Amino acid sequence: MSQLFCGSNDHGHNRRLFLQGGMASALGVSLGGMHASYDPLWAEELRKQQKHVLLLWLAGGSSQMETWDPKPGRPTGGPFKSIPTAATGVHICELLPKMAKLMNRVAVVRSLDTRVGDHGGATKLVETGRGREPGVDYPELGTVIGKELAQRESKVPDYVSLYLATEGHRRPNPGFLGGRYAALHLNKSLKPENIELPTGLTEVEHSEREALRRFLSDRFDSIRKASKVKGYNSSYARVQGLMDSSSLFDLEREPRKQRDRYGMTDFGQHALIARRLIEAGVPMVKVARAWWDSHADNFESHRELVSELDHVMSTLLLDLEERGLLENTLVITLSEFGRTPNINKDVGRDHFASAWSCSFTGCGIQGGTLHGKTDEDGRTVADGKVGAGEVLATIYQAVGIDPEKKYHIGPRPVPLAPEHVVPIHTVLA
Amino acid sequence: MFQVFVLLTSLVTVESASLRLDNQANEVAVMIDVFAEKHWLSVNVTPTETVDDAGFLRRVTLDLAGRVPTYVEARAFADQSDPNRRTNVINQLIDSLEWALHFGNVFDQIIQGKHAGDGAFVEYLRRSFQEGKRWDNLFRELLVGPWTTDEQKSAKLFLKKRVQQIDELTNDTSRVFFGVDISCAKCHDHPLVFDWTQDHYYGLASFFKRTYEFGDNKEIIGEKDDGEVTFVDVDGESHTAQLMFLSGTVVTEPLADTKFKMIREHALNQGNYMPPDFRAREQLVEAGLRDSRFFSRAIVNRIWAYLLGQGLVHPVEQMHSENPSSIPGLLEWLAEDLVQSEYDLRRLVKGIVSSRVYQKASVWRSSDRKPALEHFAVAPLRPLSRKQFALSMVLAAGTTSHDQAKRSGEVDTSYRQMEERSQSLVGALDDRSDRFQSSTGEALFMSNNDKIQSLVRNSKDNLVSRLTAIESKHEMIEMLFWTVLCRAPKEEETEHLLAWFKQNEDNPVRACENLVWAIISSAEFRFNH
Repeated sequence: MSQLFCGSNDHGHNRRLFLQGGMASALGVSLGGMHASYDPLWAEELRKQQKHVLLLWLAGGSSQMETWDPKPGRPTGGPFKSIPTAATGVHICELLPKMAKLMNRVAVVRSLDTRVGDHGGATKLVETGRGREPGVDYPELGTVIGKELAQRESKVPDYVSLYLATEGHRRPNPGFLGGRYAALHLNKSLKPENIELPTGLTEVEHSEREALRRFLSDRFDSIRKASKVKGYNSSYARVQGLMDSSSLFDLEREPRKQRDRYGMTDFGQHALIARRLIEAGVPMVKVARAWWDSHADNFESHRELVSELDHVMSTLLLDLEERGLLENTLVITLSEFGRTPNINKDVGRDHFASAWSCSFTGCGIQGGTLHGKTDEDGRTVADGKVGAGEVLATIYQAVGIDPEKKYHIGPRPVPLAPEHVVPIHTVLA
Repeated sequence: MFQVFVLLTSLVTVESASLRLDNQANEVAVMIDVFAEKHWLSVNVTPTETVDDAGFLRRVTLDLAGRVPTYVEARAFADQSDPNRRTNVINQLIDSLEWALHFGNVFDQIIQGKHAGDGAFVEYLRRSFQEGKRWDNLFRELLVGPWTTDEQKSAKLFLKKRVQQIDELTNDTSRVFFGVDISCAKCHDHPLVFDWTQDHYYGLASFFKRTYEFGDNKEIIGEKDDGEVTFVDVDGESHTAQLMFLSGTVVTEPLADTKFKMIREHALNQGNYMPPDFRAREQLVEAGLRDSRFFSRAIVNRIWAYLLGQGLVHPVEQMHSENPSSIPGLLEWLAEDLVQSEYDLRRLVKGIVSSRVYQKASVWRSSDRKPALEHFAVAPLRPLSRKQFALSMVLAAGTTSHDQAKRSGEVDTSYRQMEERSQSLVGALDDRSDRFQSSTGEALFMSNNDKIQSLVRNSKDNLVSRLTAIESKHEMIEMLFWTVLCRAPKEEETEHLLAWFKQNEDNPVRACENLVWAIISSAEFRFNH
């Protein structure tokens, strides 16, 4: 149980609340009849049931050639070699030696053809699985996942997004799902905004004035009985829990050894926070690493970025695995697009959406698999072409969300993944 | 219509003289009530009582001026015994500058949607409302100009923000001005509604196909003299769309005057914009106004939805034959009246807020089930827009400067100052929408952000400082409630708060700050009710 939170005694109280909250929903469905008092075994059971998604968003467009789909020796291949991996027959770029050892856990899709080649449009496409449509504001995938995987009455946030770079920065758009499902978005510092006591107020005053607020609000509610008022009050009820979870973002509480293990880079430390959040029950975490947009000096920048990705991602996967979390956590690497096979005059690669790659590891994934392939120079998809919709459907399917489930905007049904799109079964367990 | 009117009024009870109206909107309000009473009888719904004076003043001030009433306004209204007091206050509000300032914001949201927030566009709308510009004229200015003077230029921002995306231009025009979301009909004939086919979608798109940006800095929104839309139907057959309005009216294009065409081409080549003699967007405006059903019903329905929480047709963008007005006949009557009044939005707004339907209480005391919102038999709870909420917090927790400004005739400046002060709060608040949900982001912001904390912190002349200057705790609580909630405190509230002060005797200022925080973040303050 000590692994459920960071190990500090501060959380004993919250942990109990969280577990009881989670019990309420889980017991009702699958564990009927059990009494809902604190019980470490049930807690363990619950923790196991919670599924998570951790999206490593490689903002700006990472090169498939220098990561998952190398073309050594070809005119488009660049200077790097390819190396064999723990997955028979799967070769990846030599910049990923640590990941190579873990490829029996990873599934790679090499046949993405998404067509859209501008950062904004492509991000929107990959995040929602479909093109822009007037009149429908589709929610970004993390919002949907956070909503679908959330435990009722959870004391931790449903969706945390870390994006501290300025390039390509976007606040995850909850779209028609609305503000209730908006991500807790960290874009200035690793501390969420407004999560600490305001200046000069004591904890006691803070909770007393909240009690007063509730007294006034409850009176108002009692004669109107509207769900909007209930929703309003319940959002205030979550404040204390979120304030308590602020320690999850505090890496000072993490052993130095762990911090060093992830590497003292921003990306490494953010990945460590992501692991802490997942361990505490947060269903959806997105960590962005920017800026992969290598129009010039592609190989220099990728030598640095891919090596870092190799280290951070491999550490993260092993850490999750050691803690028994990987089987219920889907880890994804994804960008808005890949990069051109052609190497331009500035030794760069430009935007390229016709034949690129992404990876899936963990929950619901058949490790060591490959889906699709590109031609020998990586210019086109030779086999198994898929689009953003298929990626979305695969993610949902892997964590047990029905991709055909429908939301309703007024009378209009909107499926989670676009209609007529099927998950990529090759990579699913 | 008059006969129907007599017949219906004889069926319904006429309420006390206090609500009788004495102005030109009288007829509108009475007809709303007649239609509603008839509807309630037919569906066997007994409406709730009328909202009390305090509740009415708060509601109508929020709706027409975008803020809560001040302490002075609230007390003065409560002290009146004039049977026409509600009518008087409606007239004052709608004749005040604050109405134009606030409706500029409201219509920015309605017209621009996700592109809202451009200051120049808001100012254009504010000027328009102040001048009493008619809705048809405003529509024409947005779609075809003139855009010559600096003031007029902002009107082209509706097109400007969408000109690169013909689908957005087509569907937004259709949604905003005609109340019809036809995006479904882009790929196939609408599956549920026979009204909308691909012909309608691409017919409407044809009016925009020729629109483009002209000039070195794309400063002109011009039109070409040709350009057709082709589309493929579900069977894979290709079609060329006609210039067809939603009503089915097809506009035929006259043969081009070749001489004019040459002159025009020459001008364009020289870099001087010259409009073609056949202008497709203008044709759309004319077609939309000629067959005014869509245009007039759409705006009536939107204003109804703004004031009563939901459109007579709901959702507001789904006006079609399968989705009739929930109070039969009312939308049609109001739309026809609007056309007859030459699109006088003031008359419409005044008529609605004067009606007994608008002035229903939001409290449902009956043991019967609360009727669905679509019957408008009980007032809805409507979240304040983020601007209304922020402005109201600044006003309620701040100084009495707005009352002073009203006396000295500086309302415009004072309102804008408050607006500016509230600007830094707006971004963190939840937006009012059909699907309003409170987010934890707003609750965290309200609970912990220093901007909110500094609103309630004791400082010169603000609410906390005025409250703490009052000796009697009873009087203090009275003043707090009238200032923030526009009503007297109930007995149990007073008792609870007296106990609160007793408990916090050692630091009365801090107790007062925390109390002001609790009341501005209470549900009662967050909603219009």
